[in-house]
This record gives sequence, structure tokens and C-alpha cells, in this order.
Amino acid sequence: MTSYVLGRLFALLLTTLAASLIVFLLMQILPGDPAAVMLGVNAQPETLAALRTKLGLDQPLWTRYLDWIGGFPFGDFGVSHTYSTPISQLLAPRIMVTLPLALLSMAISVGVALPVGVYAASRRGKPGDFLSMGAAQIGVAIPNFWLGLLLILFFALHLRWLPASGFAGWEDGLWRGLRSLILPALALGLPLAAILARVTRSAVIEALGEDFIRTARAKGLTSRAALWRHATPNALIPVATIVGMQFSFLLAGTIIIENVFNLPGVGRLIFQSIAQRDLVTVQSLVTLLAACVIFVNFLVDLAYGWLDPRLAAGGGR
Amino acid sequence: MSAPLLELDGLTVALGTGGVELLSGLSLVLERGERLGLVGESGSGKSLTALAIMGLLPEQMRVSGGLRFAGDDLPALPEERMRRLRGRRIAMIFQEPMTALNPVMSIGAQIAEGRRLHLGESRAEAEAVARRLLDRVGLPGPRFDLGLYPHQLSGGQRQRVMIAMAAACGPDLLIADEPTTALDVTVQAQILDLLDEIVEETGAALLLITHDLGVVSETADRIAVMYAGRIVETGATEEVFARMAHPYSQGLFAASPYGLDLRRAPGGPRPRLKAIPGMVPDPARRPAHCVFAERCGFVQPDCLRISPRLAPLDSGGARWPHLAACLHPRAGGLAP
Amino acid sequence: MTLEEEISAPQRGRGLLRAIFRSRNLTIGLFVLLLAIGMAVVSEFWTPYPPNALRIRDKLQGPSLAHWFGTDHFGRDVFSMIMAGARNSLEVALTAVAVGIGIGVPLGALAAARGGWIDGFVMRLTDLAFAFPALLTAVIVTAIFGPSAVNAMIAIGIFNIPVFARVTRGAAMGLWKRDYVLAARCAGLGDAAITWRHILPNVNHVLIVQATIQFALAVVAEAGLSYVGLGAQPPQASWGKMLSDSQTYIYSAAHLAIFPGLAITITVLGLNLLGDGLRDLLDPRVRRQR
Ligand SMILES: Nc1ncnc2c1ncn2[C@@H]1O[C@H](COP(=O)(O)OP(=O)(O)O)[C@@H](O)[C@H]1O
Ligand code: SF4
Ligand SMILES: [Mg+2]
Repeated sequence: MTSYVLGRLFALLLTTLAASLIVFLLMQILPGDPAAVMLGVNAQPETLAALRTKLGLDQPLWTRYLDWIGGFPFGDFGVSHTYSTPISQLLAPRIMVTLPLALLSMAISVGVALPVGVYAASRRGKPGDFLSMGAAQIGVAIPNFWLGLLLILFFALHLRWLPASGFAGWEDGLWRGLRSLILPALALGLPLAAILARVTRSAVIEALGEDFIRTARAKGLTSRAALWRHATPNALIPVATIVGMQFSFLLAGTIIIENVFNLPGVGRLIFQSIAQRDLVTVQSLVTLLAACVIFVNFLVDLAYGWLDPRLAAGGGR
Repeated sequence: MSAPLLELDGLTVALGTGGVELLSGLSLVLERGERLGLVGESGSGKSLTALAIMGLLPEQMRVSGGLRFAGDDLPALPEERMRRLRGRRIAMIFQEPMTALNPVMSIGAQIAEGRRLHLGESRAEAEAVARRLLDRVGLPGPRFDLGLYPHQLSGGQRQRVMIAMAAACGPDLLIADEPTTALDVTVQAQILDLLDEIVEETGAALLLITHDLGVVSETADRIAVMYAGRIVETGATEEVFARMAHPYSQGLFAASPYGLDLRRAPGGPRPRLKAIPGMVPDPARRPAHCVFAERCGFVQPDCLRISPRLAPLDSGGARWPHLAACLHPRAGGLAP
Repeated sequence: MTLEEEISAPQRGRGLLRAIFRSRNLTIGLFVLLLAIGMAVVSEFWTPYPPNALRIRDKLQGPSLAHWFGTDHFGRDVFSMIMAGARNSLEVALTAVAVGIGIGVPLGALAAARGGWIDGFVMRLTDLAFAFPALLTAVIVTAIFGPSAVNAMIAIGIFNIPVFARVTRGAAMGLWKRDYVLAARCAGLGDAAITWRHILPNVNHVLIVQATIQFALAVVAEAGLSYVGLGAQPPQASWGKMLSDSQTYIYSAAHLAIFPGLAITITVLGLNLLGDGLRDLLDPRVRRQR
């Protein structure tokens, strides 16, 4: 088991490195000299050259790559050109927005999708199934940024329950901060929940058709107990795959949703850095995001072993 | 006199009310401690009979006629009471050990589940019993840990787990639907022996479903031959085997390797297996006359007019009458 | 359908309901797609008002007979802009899917045909591509090449490449073991010829379904990019851009946020229904279990 996990971790490291290299090379194509951008159009050639040296832009490509990636293990992601601040310092407060947002959205997605999917499967072909799957069909089609606007219109402007935009921060207590994240999390999470509910439904329907369900019923379980205790655990295996994939959607989704709700998160930072041609920041943030996605997929792989004993490493025959 | 353990009295199963009949007027009685073999080609309705008794028929099927268990009219029983019979007093073993066990649940949990449900035992109590049951069915610890999962066992071992599961609550009636069909020949005999012992020890009644005449001849005291959703011949195992009054029983016998071996003259050549020509008619296309007429080698004109009912033959024994649903029952022995 | 199959469908009446529902997917999906295409094509010749005509006097009006969907902050007719936006959406999505198919399918077919290290390489490449969330890729690409509708097409197209490579490879893999392919090989056909004549025609249906799904995703992605300002640039009308403009006036003119969003949602919904319907129609394997 340990060697399996170590092996996977190593592969994960390689993939992350490859991803970082791709991002790094891509950023080199970016038109516009960051030094020129920083100094503006009227910069003197000497000042420009001095800044280029200071930023290390006159070094060969591979030295710059190694310098940059070499800092990662120590939490050194470089220094932002625009803010002249270490990127790690820019990141810290923004992660406190984006991470809770992502986790909340994921919780909404799973928390809504599982019961709805299992319910629809258990009512297969009946009105409850058509209603919930019809709703899911629409949910899949709604773009999250529009859902965000609708939520603002209804819950913030009409009912005045929750703030329309901005982030209140965590300093004034958990609830204040959480309040500003509820609508964005719903906007991100509900469309994902719609996809996941459809997957859950078909996975549960498939599991319900298996022989072991009949065995469970023959043992005296109610159809409800057979559904939740026998069919659902089997259905969780395909569901976990989708949850893993959704995490990647979700991270990308934060870029847009943080714009809709004006949240000071990582997504907005990336977006602003792109607009300001802040090369190193974009490079580091995108690499970190890719690493996150790779890591979450690794966690999902581990979860498989837990959900499906047939895949558990070291299970032995 | 108390009611018989299981009593089928003209049990009929149809697709929807008044729809196609899948089972037509099955009648039989099973007492505690008896072993009844239910044989017939695949598609003759054996599994449906078992599911009807378990109350687990697909939703769209309708049951009519008598179906009583220890005096209770099963189809009329509320689902909750039926559920409490399942696994507790009537247990079932299925054909496919590969798929009949839940792949993501440990075998210990699957065996213990029934006892926790029906007897309200704690997890520890039920697992202690599960441990004893596993030992009993030939899967001793520590090699066969309760925490094993089905994929870590062979087909025969899984079927042993199924038997342990079925025996867990000490049922009065054990239904085994083709318990050995999916297994290697070498394992089949062991599983049958085990089943035999378990029934012996618990005093349960056994309804053994199979298409293999060899299996019934070894295990069952009594046999019922099914064809196209009805019983066409029934009686004590030796008497049925000795006479084979219904042409279908004869055909079944002639088509089985077991029957073949019995017919083989000592030292003589091995006779060829004779498959019954044709197939079990589709339930929607069963004739109003004798259902076997289209495949019968002894068909007479009246067979195409009348649907024969189960009637006693003179060869019946004292305990169980020998019945056959044939207008022209064979006198005895196999046709050459 | 044999009796047994017919019976194991949950129930007669419900079976019928489901059958209608299923074909209804196709009907609605096709209808919506044709509607969107129709709007896009007609907008080339005619719109109720010129979509770019500024009439500040009429700004921020709610829906009325004169302006069905109201007017925006420049007094432009929202309905006309939505018609013109349809063209932009479909054009970008279509190109993006074409880019994905044009590069992804040959890549996947190559991986399936050659196997070995080529297959491994292509698969690792797609793995890597999936490590970057689609939208993030698009954001980076548009950031590098500058915001424009064309770059949005390329950006979304790039993400479609690994998707089509995977799907093609997956569907083609099994075909290579079929007898008729072996026979063709014995007859002296090369990998390319076999792929062209025997493999691709048999993965067609999978590709069509996937293309429909990707088309829907591309419509959303385009709207998203335009929403954050990286897609279509003015004066080109775009649903995503309309939504981002609407946000400023959300307190006073909610209709600006409603109609473009509805247009996106209905288009995507129609395409998804079309995809579901096509899958049921073309792939008999999934028909049973859904
Ligand atoms: N779910 C079902 N729906 C409709 N017909 C069924 C179903 N299950 C079985 N049947 C039909 O009932 C008949 C008996 O089936 P079964 O009891 O499984 O036979 P056996 O177990 O003897 O092989 C067959 O003709 C089969 O087609
Ligand atoms: S009744 Fe006639 S057709 Fe039917 S089994 Fe007997 S002899 Fe054959
Ligand atoms: Mg059967």
C-alpha cells in the first residue's frame, strides 16, 4: 500500500513538473515585455535594461525556469511584477476566499446531487423521476455566471437576504464571511450538482439491476434499505470519478464567479495578472492550480481503493 | 393437524391482470424436513416459482391461486410482514455466486446483516455467529476472515458464503435456485453435500431447483417436473425415476448425462445424448391443448384437443402419490 | 423486441411515456438548434433594429411592443442584439468543435492504430491537458494572443482536442481487434486505409454525439470568455458580453440580465437534448439502461 501511494506520488510530481514547464513555455510566447509594461511607454532604455536584469529577464530560458520552479518546494513562487510583493503573500488572503468557496460549492454539488440522483433512480420512470431529471437537464444548461446574476436578482436585490457582491472577510466572525460566499457557491455548485445528479441516477439504476440487490431483498431488507445500503455504495464509484473531474471545473469556475460577485479570490488575481501582463504571477498561479487539480485526482484515485475493495492496492487474492 | 409448511394450490403468475400466464396452476405441498427437487429445462418457470414464494416477483407480475406458508396466505400478507419472513423463515440461495454477493461489502457484514435485521443482534454478536457459520460451511478462520470481499474468493467459496448467509437465521424453508449450475463440476458435489448437511442439521425444508437430474436424484426425496409453467409429473424420486410417465420427463432424462449413464449397458458403447427437439414455447404462445404436444414423440389426436391435468397414476406410493399430466402416460422404463 | 425485453421495461404505460420522452429529446433539440441557426442567418440580412444603432433617448426601456426584449444602456434593441449574438455563438462554437475534431480525431485514430509508445505519448499528453481546467486554458490562450472572437475559437478548440482524441481512441481501440479489420489487413491495406475505410465510419456515431456535447460546452465557454471580456469585442454582439454589461444596471434594468441568459440556456439545453436523443438513437447499448 505504502509503495503504491509513493509510486503514485512520484508520478504526480512528474506530471506537475511537466505542467509547470508547459505553463512556463507558454508564458514566453506572451507578447509584450513585462519590464516595458511595468515602466510604461516612455521608459528610458537604460532603466528598462536595469529592470530586465533585476527581474532576471536577461538570463537564459532554462536558468529562469529552474530558478522559478526551484522556489516552489519552499513556498517561494516568485515576486509579482505589478505589486512588487512575493506571490505567496498575495496568495494567502485570497486562498482564504477561494478555498472555502470551492469547498462550499463542492459540498453543495454532492449534497444536492446524491439525494436527488438516488431518489430519481428509485422512482425510475415515475413523475418524481421526470421532474427531478427535467430540473437537472435545465440545471446542466444554465451557465454559472448567469445563475449568479439570477441569484443576485432574487436573493440579494428582491429578498435582501444576502449580499449581492463583495466579501466581508473572516475577521467579523464566520457567519459574516460565509454569508458573502453562499450565493457564489450556489451559482458554482448547482450546475455541477445537476450533472452529478444525472450521473448518480444512472449509476444507481445500474446497481439496482444487479443480482446482489435481489440477494439483499431475499435477506429481508426493505427496498429502501437495499437502495441505500447496497445499491448506493456501489454507485459511488462512478460518482467519485465525476466529482474529481468537477473539481477542475470548479477551480476554473471561480475565475468567472469571483468576477460576477466581485470576490477578492485567487481566480480574480489570475485574471487581473493576465490583464496586467504580470507574467510570473500568472505562471505561478496557473501552475499551482494545475497541481491542485492533479492532486485532487490523486485523492480520488485513493478514494477508489476505499470505495471499491476490488481496486484496493494490496488487497491480495 | 397443523398447516403444511408450504402449500401451493393452483398458483398462477401472470403478466399484469389477465395477461400472459407465466406459471399456470402449480400445486404442491412441502412439509418440514422434506426435500423437493424442482426440475425442468431453462425457461420452464422454476425461478419464477421461487421468486413467487419469496414475494420478489417483478412489479408487473400478478399472483393468483393459493400460496400459503405455515398457514399464512403470502400474496395477501402486508409487505412488512412478508419482509420479516424473508431471510428469517424463508431463505434463498441464488445461482450466480459471482454476482449475487455485494462486491463492496465484506462477507462478514453480508452474513451478519440478516441476523442484525431480524434478530436485532449487535454487530459483535452477529459477527460472532457469522464466524461460526463460515467455519461451518468450510471457510475456517483465520484464512477466511470476515473482512474478506467476494472478489477474494473462488466461485465455490462464494457459494459457501451464500449458504452461510441463507442459513444465518435458521430458516424453516430453504430455496436453492440452481446452486451448483455456475460451479466447476469438481466443486458441485461438495456444495450439494454441504447443502444437504445444513438442511439435515437445521431441519429446514429444501426446495432444490435444478435442471440437472443427477443433482435431484442424490438430494431430493420427491421431485416435481416442470414444463412451460406447470408441473407435468410429480412423485417420490425413485418412483418418478423408475417410471418416467410423462414423455417430457423421459426426454429430460434421455437428454441428461446422468440418464445416459444409467442407460448404458455394462461395457457397452455410450449411447448418444438425445436432445428434446424444439424449445420451451414462449409464454405468449402456449397452446390450449397439451403444452408438450408439439415436441412429444407420443402425441395422439386427442392430445391436440385436451389440456391434460395432473392425475394420479397407479404406480403411486403410500406417502406421495405419483401424478402426471399426460393423456397417454408411459407404462415404465425409458423408450429405447 | 422479444417478449422478455418488452416485459422487463418497467411497465407498459410508462414504457410508452419514456419512448415519447426520448424522441421528444430529439424533436426539441432539433427545433432549438434550427431556431438558433435561423436567428443567426436572418440576422445577417434583417433585424428589427440595427443591433448597433445607439439611441440614447430610448435607453434602458423594459420589454414593449416596439422593443420585445427592451433596450440596453445605449438604447440598442436587445432582441436584435440577441439575434446577432446567435451568429457569434454558433460561429465560435462550430469553429471550436471543428478544431477539436480536425486535430483530436486524427490524433486518437493514430494512437489506436499504432498503440505502443505513440499511444502512451498521446494519452499522457491528453492527461496533461486535462490537468488544466478548460476555461483556464482558454483564459490563458486568449490572454496570450489578445482578446478576440477568433482567439476564443482557438482557445476553446484547443481544449476540445484531447476530448476528441480520447473518445476516438477509446472507440477505435476495440475495432482494431475485429475480424473484418484483420481481414482488411491481410488483404494488404495499410493502417491509414483501414482507419479511413473501416475504423472512422464505425466511430462516427460516438463522434457525432460527442460533437453535440462539445458544441453545447463551447457555447457556454464562449459566453464565459465574452463575459470576462476575453471573447467577442464590440461592436460584435455577444450574449456573454451583454450579460456582463447588464451587471452595471442590474438594480434598474433586470431584463438586460434575463434575456441573454435565457438565450444561452435554451441553446445549450436544446443541444444537450439533441445529444441525448442522438445517443439513444445511435447507440443501442445505452438505450436500455437509461
Ligand atoms: N422479468 C420477466 N419478465 C417477463 N417474463 C419473464 C421474466 N422472467 C422470466 N420470464 C419468463 O418466464 C418464464 C420462466 O422463467 P424462469 O422462471 O426464469 O425459468 P427457469 O428458472 O425455469 O429457467 C420464461 O419463459 C421467461 O421468459
Ligand atoms: S398428453 Fe399427449 S402430447 Fe401431451 S405429453 Fe402426453 S402424450 Fe404427449
Ligand atoms: Mg432459473
